Amino acid sequence: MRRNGSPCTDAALTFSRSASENSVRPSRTHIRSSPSSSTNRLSFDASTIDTGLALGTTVYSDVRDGRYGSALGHTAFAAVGVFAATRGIKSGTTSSPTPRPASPKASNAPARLPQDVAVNSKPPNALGTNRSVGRASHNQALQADIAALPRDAYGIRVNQQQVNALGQRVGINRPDLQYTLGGRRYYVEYEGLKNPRGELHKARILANDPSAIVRIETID
Amino acid sequence: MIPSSLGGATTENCGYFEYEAHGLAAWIVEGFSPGWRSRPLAAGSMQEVVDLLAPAPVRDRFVCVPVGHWTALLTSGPAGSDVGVLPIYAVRELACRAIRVASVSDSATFPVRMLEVYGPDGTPPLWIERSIVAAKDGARWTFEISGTPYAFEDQAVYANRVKAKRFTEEMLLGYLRALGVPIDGGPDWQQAILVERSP
Repeated sequence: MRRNGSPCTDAALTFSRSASENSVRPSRTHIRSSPSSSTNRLSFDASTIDTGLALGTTVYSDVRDGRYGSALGHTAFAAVGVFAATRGIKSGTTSSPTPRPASPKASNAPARLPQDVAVNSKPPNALGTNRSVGRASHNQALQADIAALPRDAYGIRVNQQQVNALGQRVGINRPDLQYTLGGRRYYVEYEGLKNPRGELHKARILANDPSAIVRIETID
Repeated sequence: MIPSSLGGATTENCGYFEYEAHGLAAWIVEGFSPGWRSRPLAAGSMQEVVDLLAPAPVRDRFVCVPVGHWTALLTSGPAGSDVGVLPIYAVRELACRAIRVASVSDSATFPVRMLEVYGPDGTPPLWIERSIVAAKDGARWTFEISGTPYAFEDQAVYANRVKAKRFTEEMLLGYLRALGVPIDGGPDWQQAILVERSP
């Protein structure tokens, strides 16, 4: 897995990985029959996690409480943890920073589109987690990312209209993946090398939800 | 019976886990800890549970309700019950089948029928065996289906010209029964277990 060198900005992270590279590969052999033991709860094959990821995961683990780090197996998530730590944001479920309502007065926030401003805040029901976002390689990355989410992630939506952490619909745009973790809303956009529209999508997402974390993932 | 609209958003969505309620509650506490605990709720009715799980800004309460040898999982949260990725974790760690289900009537703004079955026979990494969804997602109805059909499914209906009729509430409940979820017996609210973050 490799970072593509894009700077880590206030609320956006960008990196790339090959289509065939799943950061986490849960295996049937890891299934256990009893919930009594916590020692093997983190059921991922460490050999599938490269050094950089493991380092990042460790840092993120420190940010939370040491229980979820290995379950992440997710470079961007680890980076978000670092970001959260450096910004003094607590990423755990005990934190209660909820996204501020989108506001044109927010600093550095681009203006919202009229169709997003006009949207009714009541959202449709969240649909299936194995929905398609387009190309097979993107779907593969998406499903790996969902499977690697910490167990306290919720509000998961795939290719559905944008909903903030308060459960309010804030736009008619459809981020590839969105979820809530520790009271904060996260969005992921998957883009192809030859069709880099992620930055546009990111700008619109942040206009609708300025306190969100947006990650653009480029798939080879 | 859940899912149903009787308890609003709290009971329109729910999870079913083929796992004993006390064990499931302990598993949730263990996975979310530190700072989480469980206790018997001894709820007298569904309404007591619904009041306890009134939509909140964050998901900080779960109620495990025995339904035969299955457990229904209801939660707090901004959009009512939301089991999130717990079904995936349940397959990986408890080796049990878990179902995410939703039913919102056609008279609502955004009706939905959803059956998402996770199990050891599902396809990794999500471990989904079967997913069937008919919903109004924004302005239009959508019908989505994936996974290997079960023998009990009426697949001819899926070709109905009207997407809303391709997966009805009756079909959803019938499929739950066919999967072995004893929904007709009703949840045992008296034996419900509350899982919550310690104050």
